[in-house]
Amino acid sequence: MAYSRLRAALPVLLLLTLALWQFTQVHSQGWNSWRGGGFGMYAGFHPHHGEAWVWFGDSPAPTRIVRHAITPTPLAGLLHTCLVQLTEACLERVQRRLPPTMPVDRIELWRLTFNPATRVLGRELVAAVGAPRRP
Amino acid sequence: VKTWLRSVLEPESSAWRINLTAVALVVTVHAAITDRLHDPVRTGLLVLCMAGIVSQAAWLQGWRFWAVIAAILAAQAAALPLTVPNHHYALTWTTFAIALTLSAEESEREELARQAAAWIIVAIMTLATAHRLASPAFMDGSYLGYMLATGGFLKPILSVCDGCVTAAQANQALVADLRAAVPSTGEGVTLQPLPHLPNLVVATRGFGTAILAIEASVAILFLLRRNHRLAHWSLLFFAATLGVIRQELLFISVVSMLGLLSCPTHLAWERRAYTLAVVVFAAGALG
Repeated sequence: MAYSRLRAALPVLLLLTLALWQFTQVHSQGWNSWRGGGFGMYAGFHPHHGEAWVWFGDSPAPTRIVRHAITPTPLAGLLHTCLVQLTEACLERVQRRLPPTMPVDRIELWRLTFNPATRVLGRELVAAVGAPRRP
Repeated sequence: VKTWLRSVLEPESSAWRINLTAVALVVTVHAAITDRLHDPVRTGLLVLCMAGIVSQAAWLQGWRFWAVIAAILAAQAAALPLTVPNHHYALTWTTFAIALTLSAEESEREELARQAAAWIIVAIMTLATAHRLASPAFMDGSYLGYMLATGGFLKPILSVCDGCVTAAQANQALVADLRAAVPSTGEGVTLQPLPHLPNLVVATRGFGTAILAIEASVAILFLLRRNHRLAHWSLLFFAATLGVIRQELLFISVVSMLGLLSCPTHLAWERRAYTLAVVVFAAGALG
């Protein structure tokens, strides 16, 4: 009987193991709660509410990188992970994995902010790599 | 078709068969519409689940069939852990649970599956509640306020509220303009108030409290009284309110499927309600 009970309990034990790890990443490292199997959907802004802006080479203005479904450009695919993890360490990993032919000077991750009392919507910088640049 | 229908609804094993058919149906719809799956995964799941639904006893009731489905779902989650949605994880754990319970003694299978599904429901609802309680954006009302002001929540209610759709669309345009521009510190736009909802702070507090209360109630009832009618009505109520708040039709069909798996056979009306919800929401998600 105990062995049978284990059959019923094993899936939920694995679920909880993964989810508790994700929970600690969200609430200690600042990851977005929507992704990673921790069932934190609708607890905060979706990764789509985040933005990745990239300065290419000498370009005076940054480009917003938008990810499309499952066949993104390599840069968009890499940055999608950073829109969940929201850390500079993630952006540094992206920089290291970029091909030398792609001259990326700076990457910034921004997310939406909203004050329900004043109804003012804005954006805040959450992580960046590269020398600061403004258009 | 008659023979097939008779085999699905065969009285002595109909509850168990309907449960497994519902899971296969939801996995089929997930494979058909979720855009974050690799093509071989999508094709594999579609072919297997549709074959399972058609074959019924031959495939659907074998633990190897569900082990293969669980393995495919798990491999996809491992390949794209931060991309696949939460209902993909829910389906992975559920199909794994079915594979394990089908490998048990025949007399124990249905009860083990009911236990496993109830525990998955408890885990999902507890985790969802814990994430909200620990999330500053949820607790300070910024996330709910943004979603309410831009029409991301409560669409069926907004559609009958005079002027609400217009105000929400105007706010969506303001958001689009803001997000099209290069971001800078200190920027900001003021969103319009929705008619009949002048105080967004009060609205988000009430709304947030209601969400927490409903999800925590489901978790507690399934933990303590999973075979009681009240637990199942709380889950059906959650599914219905989710349908009003946000039309996450596939997730609602997953929740209803878990409810059906966990529901004892003597709760006939609740089982009918879950079955209807699985079919209606899965069909809605496909549409």
